[in-house]
Amino acid sequence: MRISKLVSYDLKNIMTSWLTYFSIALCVLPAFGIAYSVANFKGPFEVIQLTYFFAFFGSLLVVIIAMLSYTKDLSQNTITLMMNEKSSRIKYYIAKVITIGIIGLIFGIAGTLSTYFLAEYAGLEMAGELFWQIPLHYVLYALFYGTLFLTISTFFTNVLALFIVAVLSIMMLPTLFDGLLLWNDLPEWAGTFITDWFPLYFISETIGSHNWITEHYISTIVAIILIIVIGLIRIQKKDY
Amino acid sequence: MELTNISKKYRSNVVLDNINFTMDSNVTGLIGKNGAGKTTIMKIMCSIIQNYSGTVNKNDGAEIGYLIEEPKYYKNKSGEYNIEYFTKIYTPNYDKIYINSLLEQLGMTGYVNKKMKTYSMGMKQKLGLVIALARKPEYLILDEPTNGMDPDGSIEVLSIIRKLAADYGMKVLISSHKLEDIEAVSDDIVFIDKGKLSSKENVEQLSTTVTMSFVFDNEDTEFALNVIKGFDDNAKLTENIVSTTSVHLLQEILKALSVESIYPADINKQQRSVKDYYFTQMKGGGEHENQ
Repeated sequence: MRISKLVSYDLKNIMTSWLTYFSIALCVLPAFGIAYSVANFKGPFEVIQLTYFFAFFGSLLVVIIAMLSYTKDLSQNTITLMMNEKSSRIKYYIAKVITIGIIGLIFGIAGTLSTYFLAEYAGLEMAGELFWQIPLHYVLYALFYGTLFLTISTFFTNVLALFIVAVLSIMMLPTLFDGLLLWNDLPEWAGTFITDWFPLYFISETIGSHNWITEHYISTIVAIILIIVIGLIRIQKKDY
Repeated sequence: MELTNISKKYRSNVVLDNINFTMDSNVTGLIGKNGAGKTTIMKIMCSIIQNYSGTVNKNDGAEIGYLIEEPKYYKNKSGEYNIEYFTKIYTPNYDKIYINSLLEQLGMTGYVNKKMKTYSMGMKQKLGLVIALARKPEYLILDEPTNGMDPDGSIEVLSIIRKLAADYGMKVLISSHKLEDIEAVSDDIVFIDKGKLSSKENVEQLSTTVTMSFVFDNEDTEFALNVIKGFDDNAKLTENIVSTTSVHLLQEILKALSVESIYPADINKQQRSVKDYYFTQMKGGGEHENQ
């Protein structure tokens, strides 16, 4: 199997799909509303609100678009044409990881450019570090959730269930942890672990603010590597 | 391709039990009832199923083309896109002339640019077959490839498969419920029953075999079987009929039966077809040893 060909087909599908452009437009729209209020009504907003509002839809849509790159093979059962030799299975998984990363980059670039132009429109100054933070964080974000559900799909192939779990993980799980963090009897080390070292909590909390600390980068990258290793082992053993 | 001691179970349910055979002829047919294990064997040969015991030996790096259960495709893409996709993700060698020739032979040239969701079942099967053939595989595994096709289409497809197997040196394994199709296209046939290999037979030898059937009154049948087994260990009993291929021993058998005062109500002699052999095997024949 040719990884590069698989990735190029995926990218071609993404770049020619109306869903991609609709999703990005949906992400930009709320941020545009904020910029418009600043430009015309002296709204009390900063650039950080632009990134927050891009992430309002962006945090979910980047994962959905990433998941579509492999769930289409599960739902249409075309995966059986690719899960033949073990080497094909490994290359398929690697190709999908690359595709997911590129999708994250597309959303990251869209987020960066839209924030820059909307900030210019609103007369706000965009901090220099946001030019690399936004793309990087979206790549890591997409890779974390995208590979997580890709690996989960090697255990359970129910596509609807995968999407439901994805939405709940992104939208509701951090809120549950917020509740847990308010618990007075929670040990301090546990609270620190959740806020600094547990990507399932902090990654969707910080995709809008982009105020990642060193622990966030380390734990996210380690989690992604671990998920990929588990996924590569599992995909070789699964019966399709 | 050689299968050695292949066994597979789902939880406690044994689906395949110690299957051994070799795909050494151009076209090998695979026959068995629903649930006998045909599709499971094919999936194991294509490595779609990984969890099994035993070994599948094939030439290193050999390509395997397959069409198992229903055809797989992206329904919102054209037939041409699907063929290109499932070829080019494996190899840069996309032989457009060869593929166009396949499409022409299968009568699909006019449909290949249309979205596959508009195809009939027969057309989808044909496109699935083209996808399986597109990389000129060394091994071709086909699970009921003529499903959904009209009789003319089936004959056409089977003759194309046979010709391609000869022209490109492909080893083909084909399963079908249509026994006449299997008989028409195969050199050897493997019979599977309840997850076990029942027998492997050469089609030419099978159809030149003559079987003699003795019809008895029910009370004599068991005893008659024992007498006839003295001449042919493989004599089979189906209800009140004892069958044997030892046609040349007819006189001796009749003499032995008359000594026991057993007289058959009727004697029939027939040239066996695959269908006859299948029903004899599946209805109450014993199991032959694995090859």
